[in-house]
Amino acid sequence: MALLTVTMNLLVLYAVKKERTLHTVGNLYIVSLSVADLLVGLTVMPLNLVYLLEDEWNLGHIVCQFWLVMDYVASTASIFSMFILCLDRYRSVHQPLRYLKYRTRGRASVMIAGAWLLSMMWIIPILGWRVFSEASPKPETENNCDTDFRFVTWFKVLAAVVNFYVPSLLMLWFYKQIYMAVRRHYRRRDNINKTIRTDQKLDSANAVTLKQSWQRFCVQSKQCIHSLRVRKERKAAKQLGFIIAAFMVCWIPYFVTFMVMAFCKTCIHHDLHMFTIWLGYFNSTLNPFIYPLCNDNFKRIFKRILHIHLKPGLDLVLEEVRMAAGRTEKDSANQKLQFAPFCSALEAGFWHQLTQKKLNDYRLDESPKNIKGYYYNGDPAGLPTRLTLEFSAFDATGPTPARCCPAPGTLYNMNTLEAFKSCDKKALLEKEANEIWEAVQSETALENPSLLNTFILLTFADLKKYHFYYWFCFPALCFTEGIQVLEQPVTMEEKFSPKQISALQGAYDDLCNENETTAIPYFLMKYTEEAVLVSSLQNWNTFFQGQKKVTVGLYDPCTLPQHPGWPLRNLLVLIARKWGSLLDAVEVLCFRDQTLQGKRSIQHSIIFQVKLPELSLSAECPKSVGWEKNQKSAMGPRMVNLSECMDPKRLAESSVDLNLKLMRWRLVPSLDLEKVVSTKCLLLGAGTLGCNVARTLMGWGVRHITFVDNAKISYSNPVRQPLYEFEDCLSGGKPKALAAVERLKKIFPGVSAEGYNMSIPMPGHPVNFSEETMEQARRDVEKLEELVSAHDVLFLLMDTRESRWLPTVIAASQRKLVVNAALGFDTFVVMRHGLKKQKIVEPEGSTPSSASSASTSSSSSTPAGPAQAPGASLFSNIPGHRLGCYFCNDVVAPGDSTRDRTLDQQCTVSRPGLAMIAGALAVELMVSILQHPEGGYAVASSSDDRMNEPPTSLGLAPHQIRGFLSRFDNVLPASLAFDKCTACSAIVLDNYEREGFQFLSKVFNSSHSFLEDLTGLTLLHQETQAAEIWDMSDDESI
Amino acid sequence: MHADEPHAGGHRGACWKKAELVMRAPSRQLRDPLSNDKLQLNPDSDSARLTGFVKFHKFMAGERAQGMGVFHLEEETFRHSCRQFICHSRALDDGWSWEEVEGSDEGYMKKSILGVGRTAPPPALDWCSRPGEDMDTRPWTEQVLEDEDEDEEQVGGDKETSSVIRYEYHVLYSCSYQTPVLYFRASTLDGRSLSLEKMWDNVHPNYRQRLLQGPWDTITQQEHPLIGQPFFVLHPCRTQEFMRPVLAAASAENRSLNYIVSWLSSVGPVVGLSVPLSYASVALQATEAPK
Repeated sequence: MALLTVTMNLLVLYAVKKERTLHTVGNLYIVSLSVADLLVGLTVMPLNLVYLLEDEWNLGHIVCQFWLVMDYVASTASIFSMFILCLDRYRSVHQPLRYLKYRTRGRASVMIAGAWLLSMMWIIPILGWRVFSEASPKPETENNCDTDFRFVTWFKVLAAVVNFYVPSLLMLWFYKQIYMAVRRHYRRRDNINKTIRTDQKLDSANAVTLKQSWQRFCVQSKQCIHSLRVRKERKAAKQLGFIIAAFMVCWIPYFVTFMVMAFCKTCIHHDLHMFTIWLGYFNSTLNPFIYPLCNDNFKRIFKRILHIHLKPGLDLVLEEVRMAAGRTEKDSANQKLQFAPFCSALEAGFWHQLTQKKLNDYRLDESPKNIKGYYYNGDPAGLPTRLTLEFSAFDATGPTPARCCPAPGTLYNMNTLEAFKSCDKKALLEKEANEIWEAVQSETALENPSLLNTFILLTFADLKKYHFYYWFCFPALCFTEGIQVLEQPVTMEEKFSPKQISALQGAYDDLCNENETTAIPYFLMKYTEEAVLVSSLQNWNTFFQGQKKVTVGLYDPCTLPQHPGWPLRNLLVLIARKWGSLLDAVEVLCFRDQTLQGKRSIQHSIIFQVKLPELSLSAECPKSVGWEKNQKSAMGPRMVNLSECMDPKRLAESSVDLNLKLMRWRLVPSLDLEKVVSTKCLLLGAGTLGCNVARTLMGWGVRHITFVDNAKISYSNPVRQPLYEFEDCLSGGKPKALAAVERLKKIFPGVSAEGYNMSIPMPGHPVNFSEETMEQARRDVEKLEELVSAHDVLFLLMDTRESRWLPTVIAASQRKLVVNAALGFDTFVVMRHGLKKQKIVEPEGSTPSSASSASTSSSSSTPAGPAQAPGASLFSNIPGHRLGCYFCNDVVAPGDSTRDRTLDQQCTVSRPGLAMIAGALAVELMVSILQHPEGGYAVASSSDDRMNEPPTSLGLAPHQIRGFLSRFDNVLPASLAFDKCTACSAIVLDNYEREGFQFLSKVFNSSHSFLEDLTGLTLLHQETQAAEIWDMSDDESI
Repeated sequence: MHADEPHAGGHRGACWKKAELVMRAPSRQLRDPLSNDKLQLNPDSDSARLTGFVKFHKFMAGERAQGMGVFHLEEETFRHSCRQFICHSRALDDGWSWEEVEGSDEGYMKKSILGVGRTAPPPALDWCSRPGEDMDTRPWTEQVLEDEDEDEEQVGGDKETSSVIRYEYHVLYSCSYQTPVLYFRASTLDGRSLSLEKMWDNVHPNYRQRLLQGPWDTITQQEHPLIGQPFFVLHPCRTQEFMRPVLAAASAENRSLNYIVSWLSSVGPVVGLSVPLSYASVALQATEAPK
């Protein structure tokens, strides 16, 4: 029994170690269990046996201690291992997904280590009992071996409870839970099966569409997987049941007697005690049997191991016999020659060319077309045996690449997926096989051996999605009973002398030259110690002159050391057909011709001998095979999705992305392009500035652009507004916002652009004419608020000052970054608005100097608004939240600026280049700000910072850029937020946030003075006026 | 005037025709992010360019008395260098060939190699996991050829095929830059192209570092001007710049070299293309048997 325990447990361990498939977390527990059982079998059992037979302990104290330690530790470890195994299974069944995450190798190891440590605790009482409790008596006799605590009742009870009763009760409970869970799964599966059956009825009643059938297939396969899992679980539960039953039967008697003995030392007969102990040991013997019995993986691997090492003494004789039979069968199968099939290799160009052909030549023509592939015999080891098709494949008469053999093929390009699917593959194969057979019989194959290597390519090109479905077939005629190998393959190096090898190489090259080619698919060969002769296939009769044993050479695309490539198959059929009856054996040289770093080598070619079977003399074509397996090694077609490299839209996208990535690579790692690309931009105004801003944003790869504009395209627009064309102006003109979106999509389909043809309510432009206009204004405000909140950056690109007011207020309230661009005739301002702190913090009170700067600007206010003296750059290091907005520098509230103006004042008349400069600067300013770690809160850079270390990877982060085209000069002023600003001051925002549209409508409907009164500008005016009078009077006095 | 001139002039005339074509078809135009002033000669006046070239040539000739001081590459020289290159390649059998474009006298040098590498996405045809796909494999597996599966003479499946990558390298001549241009792409055996990052996953890490430096920051994706398929391009705008020292050193030492060899051996490795050392001998052989 000990022997059995040891062997079986060793077998389990060996199996787990050897077999990768058994390297799972679950099996870690089994390993632990096996180790414990192995220890029992290895040490405890034999020693106990000796003790039992001799009836007294003669092995000395130390061995006794060792035995006891091993006994208790190993048995306990065995029990604990079973316990954690049970725990593991319980958790995998009960909370599969959550536990799966938790169930790592490390955690399992910790559990196991814990179990073993706990078992090791036995060492302490066994070895150290005497040290801890000196009071206990020492009834030590020389030839007895037992623990020192055998008379201590409380300890024994405690030990039994911890060691056995608690784990076993828990195990029982776990097992019950597992069983319940499995049953639940099982029931649920039953239900689903029923619903499927009803589904099927429904389907058969209706016409079954492809989609339905596909879905059904999917559902079914999922079911299949599911039921497989359930079955597995059921099996696991059963296995556990076995283990538990065995465990209980084996251990309960021992622990019962153990308990009884704890209270009454003499109640139990010695033999009974011994029997229970051995029953416990027997559990260790049993465990390894239970696993292989219940686990297919183990069973399979056990069988294989046993098959390798014929282990005697196991009653697996029957199994062995079966194994042996299987082995001889397999060996004889090995004697049959196997060929490495072609694997199709398509160049990207092939699909491009097929697309062209389909669009321009074939159109709806499904008739077979001649195409051409080639194969090569110089591949380094490890590459698959390939048949390559390039874009030149459609030129069936074109040249073959140097040192490659041609393979003529037939292309069947189907018009529909249905046709592709329903096409009779068997018939196609048979037709092609018949042609090969024809070539074999009529001897045309001798003159043109490439006819033996034909192929079929069945395709369907879905040119909408750029999905290509294809299936290759490399027809091969078969001998019914296979080909017997007489001499196993060896490399040429092993068989040929260097002299012969170089002679062969020379002879082959000569043959190539003779045929004016660089590769010959098949050749005949004779060799002696001294020389090698080769010849073309068609010279068979004259070359061999009735030899019984011949050698043929094959240009072999395969790199496997034991197998020839596919082209040999049809050649052997040809030989068998022509000369089979005359030949005893055929020696085959698989000619492999590789050049590595300038050194040519044919030594790795392989040689073997086969005996060709008789080919029935009938003229009937033999059975044929050859359809290629797909990537999953299943019989089926392949599909390649080329939208990435053929769909122009995808191409545009990937090219744009690549260009941007290259910019990042250049500035690695500081440029955060993702931030720019993912920014959502709202462009208010789709005029001259809007168009230029949009184009620059596209250049930066920004994908999300939204336009708001209420104008239509007029005849004067296209020349200045690069998103519009003459056509867009006809019949009243298209709405700008929508036309701009259309054009952006034409420029780059990957853009996600939207346009809103709406007006923005403005201060001083009353909306209270009627209910309807009020309602419209309310809707416009709501829409604008919605748009602002849905975007990251707002561009104010309108041509009037007052239209910027509402977006400025909304954006300030929503804490969005605003980039503002405004044009004069030859001046412009591009600025970011100060970004208020997230929590509403009032800007610090205006300093005297800001008031003074404001007052200077009041004197130079222009229609375009922004032309402000660059005096504000007196300030330095203004943080983003204290920067001013567009309105901060003005001491008049926005009002109707178009009233009382002549036409040329109403339109923005500016130098044509100005909008492009300003538009581009607006976007670049945004990008620089985004690159700043603090974004809109970045401290404003000024002109003075030009010599300093730039704050972002792209340079400065200014507040404003003011340009003077007349001087070709830009300055970078920065200015503080103004506490009486009519747009961003606390009181305005406060009113807006509190009253919403009610407040806004007051602003729209009243004159300037409403906002001015509200913010205290009126007061300021009065004060200033007074000061001026005061000053003036002073001056006058001087 | 220099003896070469009539020939060179005639040749350049052909180039300009091409340049005009290029302008009309913007998709095929080489973009020029980093224009090199010296190369941006006025396209309106052939003669201005010619004199510019001649002056430059004379300047170089004056500088190095007997040296061949012209640092750009004539198309004829390009073809000649390619011929030498391919000739040596034949001897090594390392796969370079010259491809003519059908119906024109243009052509390019080409090589494709295969390697086993890491391709990211698994094979495309994963029927069940893709609900959008309206195809079903079952009819095939049922219908198809019971013979096939029991074909015992077939060696078991090639698991490796999906990770085989084909690299294609094309060397073209750029008229506007008068340098060779490297077009390249990588694809799986079913013809699907890999992204640049995927391709570089398989490049030796030592070289990957170089990608962050010039001239590798000028890679773009473009249509191959001769076969019209998308390729990655090492833009020629910096080629002159990094070739100049090499050529200058060679002419200073009065030793001839094959432009293609020097150029390709410096740019090739970064995209997984190695140029064996023995190519260095090409230039030497060429000096022995020129004209």
